[in-house]
Amino acid sequence: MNCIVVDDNKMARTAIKQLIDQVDFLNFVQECSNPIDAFNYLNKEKVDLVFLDIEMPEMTGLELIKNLTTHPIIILITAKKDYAVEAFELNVADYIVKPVKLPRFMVAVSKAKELFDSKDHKMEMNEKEKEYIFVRADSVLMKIKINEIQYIQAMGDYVNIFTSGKRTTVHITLKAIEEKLPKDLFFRLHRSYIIATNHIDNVEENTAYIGKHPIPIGEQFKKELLKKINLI
Amino acid sequence: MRAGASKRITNLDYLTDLSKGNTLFVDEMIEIFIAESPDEIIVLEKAIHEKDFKLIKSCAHKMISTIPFVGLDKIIETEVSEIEKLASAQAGSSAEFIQAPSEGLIKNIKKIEVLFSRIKEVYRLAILELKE
Repeated sequence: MNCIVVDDNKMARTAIKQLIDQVDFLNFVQECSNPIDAFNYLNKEKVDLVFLDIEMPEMTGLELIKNLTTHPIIILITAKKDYAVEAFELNVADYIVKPVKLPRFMVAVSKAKELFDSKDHKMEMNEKEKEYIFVRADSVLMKIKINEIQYIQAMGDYVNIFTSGKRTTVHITLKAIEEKLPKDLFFRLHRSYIIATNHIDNVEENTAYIGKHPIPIGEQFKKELLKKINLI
Repeated sequence: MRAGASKRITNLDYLTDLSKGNTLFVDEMIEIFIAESPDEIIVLEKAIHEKDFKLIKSCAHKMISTIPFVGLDKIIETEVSEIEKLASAQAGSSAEFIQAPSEGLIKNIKKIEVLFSRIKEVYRLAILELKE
């Protein structure tokens, strides 16, 4: 598993690197002294596991997790116990309180390896090649058939995925779910909406219709949408 | 307070345990501590002088992570935690201080200053010891 270490404390980073070195299935690839560098790195490179401190000056580790568009496994390593509840809600693999010792580290990385090897995780990584996407709704991993998705509506940090007769609410941003979907079948037609182009029944002035459901078309997206559905 | 041969303040047991025989790792960690600690003390001292509670808290938090590596948690963890707590409680107060510092605020600053002077002395002795 390719892993990175994110901590503003150099000694802490060096110590984690030393621990990583002792585990055969871990491959250290990068260290970051701040979450911004980590964010940029995670957007460019394939990383399976992140060892992440929480309290850092520019952005906390928890804020970094919430803003990520990729989904590496996270192990939080921090000096305080205060963040355990929030960490649980963010579905991190484990939460270790400093100072870290090898046995506790091994427990955490074993959990991470199990997650990594599990069917769920592999499916999430390969979903673009398959008929389904996997999303977490109410802590349950759900499978949604891509060609049944009609449209997706943004609601802050959540989206509503509409399939025929059903709405599924998922804790993910619109941008993040857009990246999971095949570009030839889905189109962002408004700041808050993605539509499945093969489900569009009708397009009027500034509105697309799926059956009777109106989906607004943002001015900046109009020309591109019409081109996509071959109206111009 | 003096660190004589019979009573060292640093302790490398935790580092040695982490190293699993990798002496380069232990050397590297000691080098980092010696190189970075003086600046960390200077930054913290300046933050205390300027009543920058957000920075004081951030420095103290960083110290909490650092001190176990050289065994100083057994010596000054209480003091560092206390500074972090006091600074946390005052974090919104910097502007207030400029206008009309409360008695509570002044008392907390004094406490932080006293705690810091002990931390500074312990760090000075620790760096000397580790340089040997």
